[in-house]
Amino acid sequence: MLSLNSVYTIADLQAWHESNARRLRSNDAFSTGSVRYCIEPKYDGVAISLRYENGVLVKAVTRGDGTVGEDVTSMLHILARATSARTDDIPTVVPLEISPEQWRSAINSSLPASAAVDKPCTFEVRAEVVMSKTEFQLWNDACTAAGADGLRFANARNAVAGLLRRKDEALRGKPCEIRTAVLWLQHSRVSLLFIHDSH
Amino acid sequence: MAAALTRFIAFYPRLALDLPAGLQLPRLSVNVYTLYLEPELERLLLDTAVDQRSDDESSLGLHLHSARMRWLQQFGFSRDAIAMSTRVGGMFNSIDKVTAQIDRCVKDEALRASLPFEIDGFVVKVCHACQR
Repeated sequence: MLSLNSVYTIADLQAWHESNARRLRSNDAFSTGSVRYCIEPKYDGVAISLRYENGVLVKAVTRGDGTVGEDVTSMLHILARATSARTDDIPTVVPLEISPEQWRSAINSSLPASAAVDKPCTFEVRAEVVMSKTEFQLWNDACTAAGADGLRFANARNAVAGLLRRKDEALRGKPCEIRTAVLWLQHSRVSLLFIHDSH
Repeated sequence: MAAALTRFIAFYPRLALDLPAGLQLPRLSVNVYTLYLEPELERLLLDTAVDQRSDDESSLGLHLHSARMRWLQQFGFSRDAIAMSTRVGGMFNSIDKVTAQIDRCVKDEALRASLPFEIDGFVVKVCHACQR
């Protein structure tokens, strides 16, 4: 995953712009176009890469050093479910599965019918995981009330990083006996969801 | 049937939470930057967008960015995540206007005094150029 470079002078910014323009001019599609910029806020959180294979979230990894990050898939599952259970109108922060119907509807709306894509491919979503200041304050207050000061954080950004990377059993919890497996039947092209409950 | 089960797609352990009494996991949000597809599909989408582009060629990149955000919403990413990403600070058609915007931020005493500022309660970082 890439990161952002800082610039400290207008001259540095101009030099960056000129390098953009040189590269774009070498592409025929942009030969007569001018460069336009879209400016958006940079939220203070933890950068994450979400990898989906066949519509299933298989890996959530932090940026780390840009080449090797930390696998936080399990904790993201927990946090996604925790959030989903507390909101009425927002299905999930991060969908854990994307149905073939959702995929076809989205992607094929931008493709000619002759190039229609039938099933989800591998793709990655780059995002920033953030916590609002209100949620951060509620968490710290709840920790104090519960006598769990060790779970308090210094700021919202640290809270996100700390929660995603949490390793201890007190927060992560113990695996229970319910396991869910998604299995595909190749010959019938039917997807089945098996839920095995060994309680 | 066992022979027909040809592909094991995923196996998720569902973890039980064991938090101290009265403590509920906080709600995290996600600000989506972009979506990367497989190279062949990326190329197909770009070719399609180029074929269908309007006279304003320079809008191609923004058009594709908007399409990616729209797809992500259809995939099920929350409206919050998409709204945060598309709430732009501005769209500028020249680097001179970008630098003028930065200059305005630097000289805006009220904005500088509020750094780092918030949008809808989320902490927003600002570049070093604006902080000085």
